[in-house]
Amino acid sequence: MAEELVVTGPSGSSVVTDELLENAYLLDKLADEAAAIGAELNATDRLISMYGLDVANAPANAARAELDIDQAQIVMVQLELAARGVSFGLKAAADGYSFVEQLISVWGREAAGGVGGLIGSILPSLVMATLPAAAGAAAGIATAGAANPAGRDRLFAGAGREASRMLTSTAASTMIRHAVSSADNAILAALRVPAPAARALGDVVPGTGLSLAARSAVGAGALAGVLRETPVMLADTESRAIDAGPTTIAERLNRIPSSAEVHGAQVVIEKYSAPFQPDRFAVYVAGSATAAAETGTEPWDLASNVHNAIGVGSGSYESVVQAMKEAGVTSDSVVQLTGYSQGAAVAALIASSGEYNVHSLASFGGPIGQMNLPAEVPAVIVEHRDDIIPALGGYQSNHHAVIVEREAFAGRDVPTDRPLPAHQLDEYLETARLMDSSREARLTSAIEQLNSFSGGWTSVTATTYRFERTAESAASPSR
Amino acid sequence: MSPVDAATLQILETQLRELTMLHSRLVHARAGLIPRHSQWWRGTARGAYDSAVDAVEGTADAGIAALRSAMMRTGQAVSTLASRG
Repeated sequence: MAEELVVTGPSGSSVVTDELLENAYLLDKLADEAAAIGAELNATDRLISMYGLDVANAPANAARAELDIDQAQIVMVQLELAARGVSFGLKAAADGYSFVEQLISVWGREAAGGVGGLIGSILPSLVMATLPAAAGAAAGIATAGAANPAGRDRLFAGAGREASRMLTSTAASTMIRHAVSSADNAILAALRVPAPAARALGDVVPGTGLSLAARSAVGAGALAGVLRETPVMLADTESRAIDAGPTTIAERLNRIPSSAEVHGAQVVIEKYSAPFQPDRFAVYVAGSATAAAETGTEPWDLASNVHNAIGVGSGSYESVVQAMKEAGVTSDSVVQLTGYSQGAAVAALIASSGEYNVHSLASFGGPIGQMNLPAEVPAVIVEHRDDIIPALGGYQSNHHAVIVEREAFAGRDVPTDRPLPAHQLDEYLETARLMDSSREARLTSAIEQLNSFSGGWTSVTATTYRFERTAESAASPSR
Repeated sequence: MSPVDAATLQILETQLRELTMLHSRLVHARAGLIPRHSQWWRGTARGAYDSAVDAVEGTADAGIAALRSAMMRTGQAVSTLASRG
């Protein structure tokens, strides 16, 4: 169901359907009510005893009523036990279900490594075999497009709609996760690296799959003159006082700026101040503003996406680091990070850089599976199972985090009027609202942990930052 | 009516009010707090779950029946005492 949340967390995992949790909650309430009724029956029973009724020469029905009250008390104890037992069983079943699901996922990963190696070993011949056909098709489209631009646009629009439908599925996301996670095997096999050595490399360098694929993309991009990194500079900033920190996940997500708006800010930093306390900072980072491969003035672009997959140093990463410096963040400042899409990747890189004192992190739809967050940083990672953007981050390796998953378009038609609908912010907002209304213990505890960052602080200032790339090329980011 | 009957009548009337209130609470809880049979489960698990829900329902029904009987008999005892004049 589209309203079903799947929550996994550090202390084991539990599949949470609304139905399972709601039923367990109802049964707990029933057990509480049975216990309360039993206690009140006990008090009623003491109004008068059998002996008292006998002495008072009460009618026989009064004594029979006493026996009924005794019976009702026994049944209330039975009801409380039965309801609690079934509730406990429901929660245990949820944990068991998740265990099986994780087992299947592990098997899938093992298989993916093998498939990656297989594809890599045949990749060179596959490329040689398909290149002429692909080149011919591209040339045909280009020629026809030049002769008939309107027809070309319709062709691409139709293909785009179909692609959007195909890509918005759990199957597509799973395939992409497999492909990304096993990309190192494929690339190393193509380079004729023996399988045991490739496995050893994967074992000692976590996240190798994504990083190798991204480095390959940057290498190929350099040849084509795209995906080029540049320095960035602060173009605009604005501050205003706000009332308080977010108290719900939906409110938190809504505070992330929209970089896609004209002159939209990419970063918002909220400064929390209180007497005799050092300031603390909540950093909100936007998602991608453009998918163009050519480097322009916008740092939240494809080049940054690819460079983020390699490590620190992208335009968007450097922008956030500059914004934090402008805001007064030091290595000792307590910082909370919240990001969406590319912003989530930047937030994860900042948390894993070890340069900051990170209180907690919330990630929405970010390709961060292979970015190793520090185990001591509490994190909430929200991903849609039919969203390919988080899948591009490979399998989720941050098992210490609370991971919330939802299939956004389960049982619903996939809209074709916008690209990657399961990645859209409004769908993540719906997930956020479901999280806020969830009673899953790990989730409520994680939300409390996030909210504890801003509780009780008296003065909050929100500052927006907009960055632009500068014309000159950047030196290769140091990694 | 003798003072003893009057005191007993007062106690039984209080008992009847309490039982009526508790019966109403239990009926309300039975209607709103017991899950329905679920489409989520399959096979043996579904049978086990449905049986468990049925058992909870049956126990709640037994509680309601015991309370209803206690109410009815208390009510009859109140009528008998009141008719002693």
